[in-house]
Amino acid sequence: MPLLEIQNLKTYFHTRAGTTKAVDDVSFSLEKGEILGIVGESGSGKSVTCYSLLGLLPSPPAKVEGGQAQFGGKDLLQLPEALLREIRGKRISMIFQDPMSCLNPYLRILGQVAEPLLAHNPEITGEEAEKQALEMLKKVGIRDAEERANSYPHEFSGGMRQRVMIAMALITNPDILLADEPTTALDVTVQARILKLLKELRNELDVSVIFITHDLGVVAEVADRIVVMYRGKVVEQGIAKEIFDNPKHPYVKGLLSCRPTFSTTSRILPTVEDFMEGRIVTEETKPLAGIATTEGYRPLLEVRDLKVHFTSKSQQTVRAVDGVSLKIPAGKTLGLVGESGCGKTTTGRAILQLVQPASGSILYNDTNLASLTRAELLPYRKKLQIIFQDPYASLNPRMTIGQALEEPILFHQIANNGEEARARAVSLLEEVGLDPEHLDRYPHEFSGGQRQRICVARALAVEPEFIVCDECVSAMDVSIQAQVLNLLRELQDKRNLTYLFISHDLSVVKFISDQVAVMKAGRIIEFNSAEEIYQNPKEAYTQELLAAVPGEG
Amino acid sequence: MEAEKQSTQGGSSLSRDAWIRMGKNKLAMASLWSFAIMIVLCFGLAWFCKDPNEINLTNKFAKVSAEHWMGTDALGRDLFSRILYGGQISILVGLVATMFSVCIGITYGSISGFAGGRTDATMMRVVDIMLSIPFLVLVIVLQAALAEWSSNTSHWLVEAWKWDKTLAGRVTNIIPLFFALGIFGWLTLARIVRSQVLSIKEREFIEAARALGYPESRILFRHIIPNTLGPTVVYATLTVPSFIMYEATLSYLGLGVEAPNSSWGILIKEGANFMETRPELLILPGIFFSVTLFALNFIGDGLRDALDVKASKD
Repeated sequence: MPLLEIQNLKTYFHTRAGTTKAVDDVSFSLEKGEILGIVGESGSGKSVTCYSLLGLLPSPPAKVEGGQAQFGGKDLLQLPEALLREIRGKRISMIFQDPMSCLNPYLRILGQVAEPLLAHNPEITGEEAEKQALEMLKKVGIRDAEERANSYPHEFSGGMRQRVMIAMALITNPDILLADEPTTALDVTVQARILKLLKELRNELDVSVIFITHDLGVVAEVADRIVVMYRGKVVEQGIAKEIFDNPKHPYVKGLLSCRPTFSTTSRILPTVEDFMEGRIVTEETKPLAGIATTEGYRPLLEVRDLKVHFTSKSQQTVRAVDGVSLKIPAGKTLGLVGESGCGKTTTGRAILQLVQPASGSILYNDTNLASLTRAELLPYRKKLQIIFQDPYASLNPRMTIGQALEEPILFHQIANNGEEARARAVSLLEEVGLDPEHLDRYPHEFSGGQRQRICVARALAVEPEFIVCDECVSAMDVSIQAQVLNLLRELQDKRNLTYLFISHDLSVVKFISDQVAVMKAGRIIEFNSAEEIYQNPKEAYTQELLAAVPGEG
Repeated sequence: MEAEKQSTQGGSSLSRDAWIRMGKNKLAMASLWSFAIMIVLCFGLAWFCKDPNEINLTNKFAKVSAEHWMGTDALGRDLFSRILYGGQISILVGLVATMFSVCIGITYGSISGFAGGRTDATMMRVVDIMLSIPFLVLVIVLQAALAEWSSNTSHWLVEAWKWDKTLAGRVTNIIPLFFALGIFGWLTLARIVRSQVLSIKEREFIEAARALGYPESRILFRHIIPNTLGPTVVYATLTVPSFIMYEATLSYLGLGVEAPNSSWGILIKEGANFMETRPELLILPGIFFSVTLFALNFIGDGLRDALDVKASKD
């Protein structure tokens, strides 16, 4: 008999706008000691499913409309709040995406880890609880646990905080650990260590884990079995390896193939729509047009010894970018990878003169942008553009799409009058795959993927030659990511664009780039053609980064 | 998906969405109507009423009758007419002083927030200093300073422009009040606008605007200030009743509107003298006063809910 059995779970959200079937007839089970991965894109109902079990959803608007969740001979969905509270945190614990906001900044680590014990077991003494907490901190791999146990959460790094969260969740010796996107906010090398830790702890403590994530690579890495959810329904479930090798449902097929991996060689990614609508895409149809060797090309943009310094609040100089040199040939893509805080975003902004470099030169067709005045820079504003990570924040919420596109056209006098500008805006929208009828809409009426297309259109409005893509697909679901990546590719082919593609996602960078630069602590530590970097990494750090990518190798 | 559903309606701006949400808020809509009726009464019906300053000592403390809808006061003046004329001044003081403070507050706050650094620090210290000056003291000083100017202007209006003497008196009487309230009112607003600007200027669409080479003035006026308007409107709506309240307080203390002009503050003050014998002289102006304040506060709350950014994302 399975440890947890969910049958026909239905959770609906009743709002003024109508009823949303967030979880619609979901059934699956969890065996003792297994790791079950629940995968799905945003809005698929994967988190709502698990929150429903523990009665953690705000009600109203959420309401569990039916189904059963058998755990230890009881139906969790029928339990009164008082009994559920005894299970929650004691027999079923949770860890969340953001370990900083889940830890109380005013309490010492040791006290926080011990707290669930004290809350669920009135007989235990404080001393005993702290002793067990210390034990658990050692188990989750906190080095020098005795000394560090008395520090506060802000003194820990993101990965260490997540370890503390795991210790806190496991200290009551629960049967089930619910992990909701526990590694999404972490750097890839840290993520790899946390995933390894979870597997070890599962073996050691014989705990079952439900691992909720949007990341197929992560699931491939940890899960024994997986449940794939799509729009509130389970579309496929089974042994992880079987699903990855031989997916049955078209959505799952699409999801698996639209994600670029190290072995992707096609120039255009298949999309989920292709599979859902039965269009058959074979990967061989669009092979890579030869490996780019960039020797001998004249660089469109050359960065020489760029340094950007910030002054921190404690008056110390932070060398965000500390001597970066790059060359990007026209019509090619340079991928800039690195973990958070390595200075890759600052480099991109310094190239566009959005932050003032401390020293170094930025040669665009042999003109040093860093030495130009504001007025002299204006013609170059047309040539160099940027697309940001968050399409929600990169559009002015009080301007229609038409206004957002026409403004740069008129400002730079690319069109002579409003009519001409509008015609250009229409053709831009068509070019990025949006309906020109949407010109009079406001940004909040579009989905994330559509908004990013609008941002691309706005960048294209001034007919640029060079675009900095700053993590521009990082916040997206893989199916949307594939569409935007394809769009960037198409535009590059059509307009001979040059990209600086900044990302922390090595698979995406591999897919889109001709050359790759690996950045660490403000410097570029390895710079080579994409093929060379991925097949023959020379630096130890590059090797570590590549090895940490989940689901590869 | 959502966008496709609305394809026939065309664009729906944030402010239009807010109006639709506001329309569903019954309390706010009722308040909006009450305030509208109050405006119509005070600024429309008042012109057809009796002269509020006509004294008739033979008919003081008259009961409610067809001639005097709410009776008369201690000097035999028609109370209903005095309430409506008083309302004109009270509401006008509230609205005009708010307009003053919104204009100053937005300009000052947005410049301070946008400039940042040392300019911002200096400008905000000035606000801090002004906030530490006792309100009443400043008003008394201003009233004294402007007293001569106000009587000169009154004469000038009568002589050069052939204004009616009472009207000129009424207008020049409240101008120092506008100044006093306007000078104080913008301080908090400037802080609100500044904090809005600080957060908006970090958003990526501002950086996109910089990357497109727009000059700073265009970024400030086209991209930043329009995005601060939501909270500003809410705060401004809530400022109107507080200004009306200030006016009443000052008039009650003899520092604001002066007799024979009426305002709700004056009427409440006069009514308080006869509280035990003729309570309606206090209660009736009090009702008008409270209804207006409640209505404006509920409108402000309704606007805040309607403009709530989180709600607009659903």
